[in-house]
Amino acid sequence: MSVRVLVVDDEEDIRDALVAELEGVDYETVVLENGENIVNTVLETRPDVIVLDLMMPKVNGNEAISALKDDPVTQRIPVIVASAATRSGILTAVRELGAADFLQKPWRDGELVWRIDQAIGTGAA
Amino acid sequence: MVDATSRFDARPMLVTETIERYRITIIFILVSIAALGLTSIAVERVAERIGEKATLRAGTAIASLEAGIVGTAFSQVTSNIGLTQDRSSLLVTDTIMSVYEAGEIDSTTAILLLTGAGDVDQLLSSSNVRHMSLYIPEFDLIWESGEAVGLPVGDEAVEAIRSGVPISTLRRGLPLGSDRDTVNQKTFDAVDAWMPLSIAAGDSQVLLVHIVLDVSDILAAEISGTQSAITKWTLAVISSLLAVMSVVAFMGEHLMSKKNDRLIFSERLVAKRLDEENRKLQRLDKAKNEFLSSVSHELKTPLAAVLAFTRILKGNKKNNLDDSNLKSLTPIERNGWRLNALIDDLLDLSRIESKRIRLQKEAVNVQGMVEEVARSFEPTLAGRYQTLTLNLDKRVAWIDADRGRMIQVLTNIVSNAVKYSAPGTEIVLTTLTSDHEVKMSVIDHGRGMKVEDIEQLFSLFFRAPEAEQSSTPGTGIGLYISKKIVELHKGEIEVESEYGIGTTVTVTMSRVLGSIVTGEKTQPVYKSGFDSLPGSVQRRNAT
Repeated sequence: MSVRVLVVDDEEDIRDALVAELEGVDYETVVLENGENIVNTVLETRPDVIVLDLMMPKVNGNEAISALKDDPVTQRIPVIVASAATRSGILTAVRELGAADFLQKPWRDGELVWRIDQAIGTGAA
Repeated sequence: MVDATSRFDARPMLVTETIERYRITIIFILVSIAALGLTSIAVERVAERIGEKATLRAGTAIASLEAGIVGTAFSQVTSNIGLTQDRSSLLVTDTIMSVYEAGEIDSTTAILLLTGAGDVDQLLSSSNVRHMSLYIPEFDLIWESGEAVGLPVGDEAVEAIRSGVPISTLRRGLPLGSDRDTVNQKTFDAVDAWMPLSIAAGDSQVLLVHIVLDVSDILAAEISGTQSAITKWTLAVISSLLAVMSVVAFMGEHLMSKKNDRLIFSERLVAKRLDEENRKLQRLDKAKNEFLSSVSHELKTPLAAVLAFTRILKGNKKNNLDDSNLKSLTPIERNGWRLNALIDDLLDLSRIESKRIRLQKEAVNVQGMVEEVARSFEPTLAGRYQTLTLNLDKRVAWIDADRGRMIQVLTNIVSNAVKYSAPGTEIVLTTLTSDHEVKMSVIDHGRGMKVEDIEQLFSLFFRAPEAEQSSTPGTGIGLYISKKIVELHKGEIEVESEYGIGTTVTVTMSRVLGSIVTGEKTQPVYKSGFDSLPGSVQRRNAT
């Protein structure tokens, strides 16, 4: 069974790049432009993992994670925060929010898939 | 802004503050009062001495006059009666009468003599002469009148006879009257004069007249006159001077204190302004950092898209790109990452400069970290046919460090070694564990550096002139940041280089105590996928 990834990013090009890279390894993708309706989308599409941008209009990454953590079903799905923010200690910060991992933009070759696989492994445990 | 003077005038001044503020003036006034008192005492003394001298002069003159009268009277007596120096006969009224009754002198002479003696008595009673006595040579008393003052023949008398001039002394506080035992003894001041007189008798007979002249009134008048004259003027002049000086001191001090107030206020003002400026700078610094973060985010987002799509193109899934197309993608990707590294460097620089860099320390296995750094260079090394040899100490070392930051430092140093070494050369990465520290060295056989360049190596934006000329990419930020990071860890970074031979950069860090693990066997040999090819990471066991 294929891995289904929910990609949430306001930048169309980044969304496309993430989707293209994931489809390159035959992962299914669902996309959202921001954190709005993330819980409903997750409940409808049941992704294995969520790749979530932080800085987004309307509902940002932090708010989206909070919403996900409030729902008993969605709270179990691992979230990988993907951001170009370079604040020191960001990994700790996102972990404290409840994210499983952090993907620094720009990401290295193979890093996206590796982190997703790691997260799913963690999430399934 | 509050006006300096108005603020200080509005504040009530405490007594202690006033004393503090005008202490010099106050001390000066107190000293002046004391000085004035002492001056007044001194002036009184001086006036008394002057008065005494004047009195002595005047008294002596009067005494001379009196002595002259007495001398004259007795000269007349002696010449009139035709007597020579019959001592017993030359005495007062009783003597004259007995001589007369004896028929030695006639009645006219007796009357004349009595008149002379009477004149003397009268003179004594009417003048201030308290005592008068007459001596003939060998200091035999031949006549005396007035009070017994108890001033016998002494040195003065001898001196007067010897020198032939009057010798007079001012004597103060002589007892008055005969009752000398009472407590309330009245006293008087006197001129005690010894006057030699030549008697006009044809020979050089000398009489010595002793006169004790009461000069109490004269002395009192002289002293008070002199005192009032000297004291009045001296004290007036000195008081005026002191008063003027006190005023000057007060004004000086007042001006100084005002100036001081203004200084203190301007200091406060300056401090306040500096504080404001400082806060402004802090706000600006914060804004700058936020701006940099924001810019870096905005730069990295499109860069992420560029790099991701470049990778997808390089993947050539649809097989529609020829080799030339694919080759062109490599510099795009490489420069994209360079741009990314540059953004990171600029952000780090900003954090270091504003001291916002925070280390997330943990126990870091040095050998593991070094291997990870080496592994990350595999693609780069392959492209340059270079070999990275790992020479790791068997003794595993742990350090308390921010792993990410230490990797950044080592990556930077290795990256420099790779950049400045010719293709096909070997770079050696060693660790050396000692009891308390661990050294990580990157040794290359590149072009090396000149002495003057080594000195500036860790300066911000410094790039060796040759690196500039050869267009080796770089910004001169990396080593500066590396040094700062190592220093934040209380470690050391040093460089040895020989021009044309190569460079060794060594990072020394303190080991975490109690973590010494001595492996009996060597660690598993790490082999890269390029082990046997040029451009590889090799592991060599430490000897």
